[in-house]
Amino acid sequence: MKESCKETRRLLSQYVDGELEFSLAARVEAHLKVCPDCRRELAALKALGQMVKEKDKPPKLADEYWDWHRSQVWKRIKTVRRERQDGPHRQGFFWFRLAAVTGGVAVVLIAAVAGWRLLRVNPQKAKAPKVVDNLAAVLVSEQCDKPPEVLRMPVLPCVSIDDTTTVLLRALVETDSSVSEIKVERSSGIELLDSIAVNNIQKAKFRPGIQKGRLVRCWLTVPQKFRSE
Amino acid sequence: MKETYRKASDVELIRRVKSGDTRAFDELMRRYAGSIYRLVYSLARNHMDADDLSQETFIRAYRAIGRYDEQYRFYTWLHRIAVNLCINHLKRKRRVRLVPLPGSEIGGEWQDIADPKSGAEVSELQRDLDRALCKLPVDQRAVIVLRVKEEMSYSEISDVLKIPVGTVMSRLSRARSRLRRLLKEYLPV
Ligand SMILES: [Zn+2]
Repeated sequence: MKESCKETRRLLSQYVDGELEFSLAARVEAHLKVCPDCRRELAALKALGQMVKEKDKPPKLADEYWDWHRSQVWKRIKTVRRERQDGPHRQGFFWFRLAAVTGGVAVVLIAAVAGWRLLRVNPQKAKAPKVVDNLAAVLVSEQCDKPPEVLRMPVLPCVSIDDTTTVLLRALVETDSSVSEIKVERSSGIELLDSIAVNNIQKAKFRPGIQKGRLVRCWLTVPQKFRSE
Repeated sequence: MKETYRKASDVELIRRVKSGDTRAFDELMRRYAGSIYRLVYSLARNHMDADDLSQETFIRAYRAIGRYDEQYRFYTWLHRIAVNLCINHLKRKRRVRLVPLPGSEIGGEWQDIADPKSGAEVSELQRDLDRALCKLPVDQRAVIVLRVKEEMSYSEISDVLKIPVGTVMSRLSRARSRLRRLLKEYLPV
């Protein structure tokens, strides 16, 4: 390659961006006038920029996603605030124990208050996927002596995405090991993947949760990972 | 009631947030979540991270709102928080290997759903472009995204990334030659 071509190529990226000082830009232009190779290179860099600008797009997200997104932000802001307020006295732990002692009643109250506060802060209540669970109705797996277990899970299809994508689901496992409800805890952002994940859970086999030697209805969090093909 | 928020300017909303009005911040999120998500997605290149990092951007903004200086556009300020969050995250991140699901068998009954045409159609070019951008080192990807997609000047990029303008230039130039090679079949020879 000629010396003048080398110099031009070195400056071309800046030239495309219009960030080259005047005297250098003039030199590049003078060279471009006489060199078809460098002109082609310039065209390629311009086309590249156009391509990145216009063709690189994030996945299309459902409208519900944005309501959910905002509600997640509030949820996370509050969690941290609560942890900070609790400080060294671990007030939260006290409440947790009180709730455990007084059983269902306290849980219902806390859930109601949390639900009310969430509603109050968010002008628009988040639609599906739901964030607040009805804790009073059933246990969550962490509260179980023996949480439900996945016995068999059909394999998920490989999909044409470029990264591993996870959908986080919550399944309500009944005492007869059927699944009566499935909630999307954390969407993949792609409706199709979410629905495949939900279908997959419907085909799965579970063992119910056990509390004090008795079978109980229990929510189980189940991640569904999609591999890229 | 809702109308008042929808019609308020960013500055008005921020003043309300500063005086403890959470609805005003919700409105700001409604306005900018999409743009922040797009920015973060172009840097992180997957939904899980983009989801998490865009949420984190607003959480940090909310906590730091007292330090927000009204002489900047709110979006510029948010944008800066998001970029720094992303870069730090991506530099720390190690590639996570896929964990097989318990009890999963090879060749289940769902193979047929994998047809890429059933979902949102992504062209071959878009897939190759995405792969090429994923292959760029984080530093180079950041300058390309900020310059080409966000249309920032070299001095703005230097400011946000806290690197000299000379480094912006050389990284951009390297990023372009790399992409040029990876995507040569779509570009003039
Ligand atoms: Zn030349």
